[in-house]
Amino acid sequence: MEDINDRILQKLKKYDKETSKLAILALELSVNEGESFVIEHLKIKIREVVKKRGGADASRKA
Amino acid sequence: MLLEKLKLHNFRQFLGIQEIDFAMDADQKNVTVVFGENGRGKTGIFRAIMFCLYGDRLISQDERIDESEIKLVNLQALQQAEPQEPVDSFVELEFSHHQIQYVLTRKLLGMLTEHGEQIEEISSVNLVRKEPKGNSKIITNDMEINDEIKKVLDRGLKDYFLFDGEKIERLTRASKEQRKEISSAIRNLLNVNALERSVAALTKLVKQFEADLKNTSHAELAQILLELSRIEDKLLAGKEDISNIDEEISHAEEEKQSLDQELDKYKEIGHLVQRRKDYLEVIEKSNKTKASLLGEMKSQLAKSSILLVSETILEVYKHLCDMKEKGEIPPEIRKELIERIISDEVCICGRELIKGTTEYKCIQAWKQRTSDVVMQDMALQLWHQLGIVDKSIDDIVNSTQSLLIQYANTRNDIEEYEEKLNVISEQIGGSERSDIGDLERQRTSVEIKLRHLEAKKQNLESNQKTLNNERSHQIDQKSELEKEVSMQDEITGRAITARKVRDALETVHDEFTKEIRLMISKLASELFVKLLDAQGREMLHEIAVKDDYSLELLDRWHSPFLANISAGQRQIMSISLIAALAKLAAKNNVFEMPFFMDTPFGRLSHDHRKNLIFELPKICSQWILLATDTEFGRSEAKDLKASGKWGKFYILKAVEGGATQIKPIAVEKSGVYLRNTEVPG
Repeated sequence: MEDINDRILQKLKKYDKETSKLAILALELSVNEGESFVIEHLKIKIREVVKKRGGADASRKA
Repeated sequence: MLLEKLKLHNFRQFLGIQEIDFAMDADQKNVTVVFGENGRGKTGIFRAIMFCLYGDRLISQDERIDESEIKLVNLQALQQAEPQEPVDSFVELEFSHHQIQYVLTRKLLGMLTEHGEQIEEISSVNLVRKEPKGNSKIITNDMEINDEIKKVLDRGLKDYFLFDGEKIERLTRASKEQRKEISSAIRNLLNVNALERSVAALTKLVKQFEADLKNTSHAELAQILLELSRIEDKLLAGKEDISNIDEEISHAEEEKQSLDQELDKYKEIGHLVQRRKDYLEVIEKSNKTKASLLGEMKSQLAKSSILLVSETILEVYKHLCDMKEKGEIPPEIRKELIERIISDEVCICGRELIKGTTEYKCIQAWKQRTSDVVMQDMALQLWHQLGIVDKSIDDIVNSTQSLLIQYANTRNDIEEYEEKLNVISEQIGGSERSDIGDLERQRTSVEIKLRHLEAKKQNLESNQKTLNNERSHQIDQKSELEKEVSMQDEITGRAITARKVRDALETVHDEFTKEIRLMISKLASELFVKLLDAQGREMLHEIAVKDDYSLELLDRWHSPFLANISAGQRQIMSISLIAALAKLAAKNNVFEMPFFMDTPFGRLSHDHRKNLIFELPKICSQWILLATDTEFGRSEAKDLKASGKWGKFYILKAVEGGATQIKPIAVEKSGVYLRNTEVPG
């Protein structure tokens, strides 16, 4: 019962990889964790993703 | 979750150690019947499972009972012990969930005080968790045990799988609480609440990132994002307002429905009610007439008292009349003239009146008969007055008689109508229904309220539409600007990414909840139709889960019919809903959760029982029935055997001292212990 419903996962997987991964992470965290923990964790994760994306773009331009 | 074994020691009616091994082969035999007459301890078994899993002393059927009144340790065991000597009691439940084996034991200590008062407390609880690979873990911490049990069967869901059959029909009641209960079950079972929580968390995160963005140089984009945030706040508030109005509409519709039902019932007895109303009016009018007649009779009493002496008056009057006729009053010759004739001894004709002559004697007699002037005047006056009285006596007699007749008639009318009223009230059935006019007025006012609410809702929806258009416009503008703004800008990137994730989760939530409502409707309807008897199948067509998670039952013309079904049909409908939820939550074919039902067939007719016996073992992984002799007899046993799913049978047998023994019986021999419940034909 603690698992995320497959239908929800399937629907989220239709989005781009980055959005889908972050959404699934948000969902997984929300199953058992409190809201402030979810927010803080996602904040860090999104910062990482955006930073990584920025770095990749910069290296492509270079 | 599959229940494997229940072990009871000195718990409730069960003295010493008593055990039940549950049938749990999902593909083969998965039905266990625990059979016992009332008071033998079926509910004690239900209570033991609730106590073991959740530490609950009270179960749903213990309405208005204080927890301290429920004693769990067997009284006979306490009485057999030395005074003030503690007695051990425990419930041990073995179960499995997703291939993990669990043994949960909850122990109690009980004692009789020197005053004979029974006291008890939970002494320990422990859970052994055994992984498929053989690793075992013993948990003794309460919190940890609760967390572990929550993963297996959340407390919020227990009532859907472990329940009193007769009370489960509550799910079909469209009250606010029931809607919340169903909505919460659906959200819990299908993880919708996790989805909702993730949307809420991301909405807050988006706000935090957008607040950071305000301080950057991309002022225009920041402005748009702020505007977007403002619009979304308004949309959220609007959504809440609409939800509140929906709630009000739902309440008003319930009220209207109940008034309609009342009016329908009223129509059936409408002619009687109208007649009762007419009778009441007649009685009221007659009572007024009676009161007014009584008033008249009181004033008449003063006049009619004369009737008491009417005969004497009449006699006197007649006598006076005679006297008058004879000329005795007033006398032809006054007394003074006679006295002068006698003293002068000369008659008025001039003749001499000689003493001793006949004439003299005649004059003397005349004198004696003649009264004095005063008396004569009084007699004359009396004659005159009595003449008047004599004439009025007839009038008084007539009017008194007429009043008495009217009064008697009115009183008879009242008695007659009161009798009729009693008869008609009995026919109506002593109903305390208010006047039909009141009901219709109430209904009209509810309808007006509904129209107002619908108009208000329309207005809000139109505002939402405008806001959504504004939102789309802002999103377009945002996209344009985003292209202009370098994607390397981390702060903008964070806000945009968080928003994208939030929007994705929100869209998935909306799609998913809509889909599951339709799927629950479909699955529940399929099962419901299978479980119904032929007549019900003919009439009832579909279970619909509405947007607010309330249930509706549609008849074959797709009209709402929920208000008209029987308690048994409601029970069938609730079971169909639970089975549909379980099926939807199941990852494989069968959802691993037992259907543990106390009093499963109490309200069900023979055909419903038969259908349930055939269908339920196929769709649930385990079915445990705690049944009594009035609901489980040879006919049900025959059907259950025919299903090929019946694995275990236990009878609860009374033993000396009022305790109960759990006795396993071979299913094949069940008939020996059951009553004949065959239905002819």
